[in-house]
Amino acid sequence: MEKQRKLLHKTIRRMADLAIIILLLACIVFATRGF
Amino acid sequence: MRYSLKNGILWLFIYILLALIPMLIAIAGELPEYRTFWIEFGVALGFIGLSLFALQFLFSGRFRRIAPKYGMDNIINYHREIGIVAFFLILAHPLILLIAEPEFIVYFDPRVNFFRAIALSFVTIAIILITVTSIWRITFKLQYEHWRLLHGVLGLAIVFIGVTHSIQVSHYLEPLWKKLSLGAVMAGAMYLVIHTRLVRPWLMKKYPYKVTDVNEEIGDATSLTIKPEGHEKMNFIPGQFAWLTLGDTPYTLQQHPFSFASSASDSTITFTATPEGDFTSTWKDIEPGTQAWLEGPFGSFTPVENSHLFLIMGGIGVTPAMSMLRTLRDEGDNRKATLMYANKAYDDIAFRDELEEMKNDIDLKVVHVLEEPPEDWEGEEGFVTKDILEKHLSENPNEYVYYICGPDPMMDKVSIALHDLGIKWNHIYMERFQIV
Repeated sequence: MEKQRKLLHKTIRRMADLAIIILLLACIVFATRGF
Repeated sequence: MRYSLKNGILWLFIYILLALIPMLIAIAGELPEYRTFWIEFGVALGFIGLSLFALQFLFSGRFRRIAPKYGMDNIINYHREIGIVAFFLILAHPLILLIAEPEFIVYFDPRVNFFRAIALSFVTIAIILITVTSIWRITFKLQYEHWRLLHGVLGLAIVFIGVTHSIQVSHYLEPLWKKLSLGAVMAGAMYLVIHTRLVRPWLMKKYPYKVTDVNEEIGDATSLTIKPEGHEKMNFIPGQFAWLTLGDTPYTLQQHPFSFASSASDSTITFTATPEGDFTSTWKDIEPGTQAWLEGPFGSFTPVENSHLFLIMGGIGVTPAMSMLRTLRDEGDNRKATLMYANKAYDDIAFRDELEEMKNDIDLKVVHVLEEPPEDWEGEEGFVTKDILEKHLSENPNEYVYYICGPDPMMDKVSIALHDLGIKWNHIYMERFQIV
C-alpha cells in the first residue's frame, strides 16, 4: 500500500486540522468577546 | 528540508495569522452591540470562511517563493484538505445564523433585496460546485483545462461575493476604514489569481521560446528542444519542472507541467515525453519554429548540496534524472551517482546510449531493471524490489539522497523498501504530477 504517501497525507491533514482547530477557538473567543 | 518540523510550524503560524486578518479588522476599534453567542459565532465562521477561501489563492502551488520550500504536491494536498474544511465552515455560517435567528432568511428573500438574494444563493451553489468538481473531477469526466478555468472563476466569485456581503451587512465593519481595509486585503488575495491567470501569461509573452529540434528517442519518446528568443534561458535547478505552452499565444488553457530534461548549463531547454495524453501525442508532429512559452521553474525535487545521488526512475520519469546527470557532467561535478532505471523492455530504455557514454565523464553507476528482459540479459529483472535495492546500496546508504520518479505503484513500493532498508524519510524525495 501507499504507506509513505499516506503518512505524508496524514501529516498534512493534521496540520490543516490543527489550523482549523485554532481558528475555531478564535471564533469562540470572538463570539464570547473574550479578547 | 521538505519535511522539517520547523518549516511546518512556520507554515502554520503564517497561515493562522493570515486567516485571522478579517476577524482582527472586525474587532479593531469600537465594537457593535453584543447579540447571542450563536449569532456571534456564526458571524465569526463567516469571517474565517472568507479568509480560508481567499488564502486558497496563495496556497495554490503556483507561487515560486512558497512552492520550492514545501514542494508543490504538499501545498496542493494542503489546499485540498483546507478546501474541504472551508466548505463546511462557510456553509455552517448561514446555517447557524438561520437556526439562531430565523429572521435572517430575509438575506435570501429576493422581494427584500433582489441582488443580495441572488448573489447569496449563487455563492452557496458555487461553494458546493467548486468542492464537488475538485474532489470528483475525474468521475465527472471534466477536462483538466476546463476544470482549472471553472475553479479559478468560481474561487474569484466566491471571495468577491463574500467580501461584498460582509461590507454590505456592515455590522462589524461600520467605520469606513474597516470596510476599506477588508476590501483591500481581499482585493490583494483576488489579485493573486488575476496575476496567475492574466499577468503571468503577459509576462511570459516577453520571454518567448521557439522549438528548434524535435527528436525521436528510444522507447517511443520525443524530445522537444526550445531556444530563448532575445533573452536569457530560464534559470532552473535540475529536477525542477515548468509549465509548457505551445502555440502563438500564452493565453491558453493548454498548459502542461514537464520536468526539464536538459542540463542546467545548456543554452537551450529540452523536455522529453512519451505519447501518453492528448498533448504529448502531438509532439512528434510539432514543426521546428513553433512558438513556446514557459512558466516556472517549480519544484523541490532537486539535488541536495554535497550529497551523493541515488536515482530510482521508471520509464519516462527518468527526465529529471537526465537533467541532474547532464548537469553533473557539464559542471564537472564529481559526486557519486547511481541510476536505477526500470523499463518494460530493452527497446524502451530512453537515453541508454547517452547514459553509457556518461559513465566516462562522471562517477555514474547505471543499473537497468527490465520487466521483460531479452534472453541474453545480464542485468536486473522484474520490478525494483527491496532485494534489488539492497544489492546496489552503498555501505553508507544515508550518505546518499534518494530520488524516486515513475509510475505511482513503483514510487510507493520503492519508498517503503528504502525505508525498510534504513533510509531516513528526509533522504527520500519523490515527484508526482497526478495531483488534481
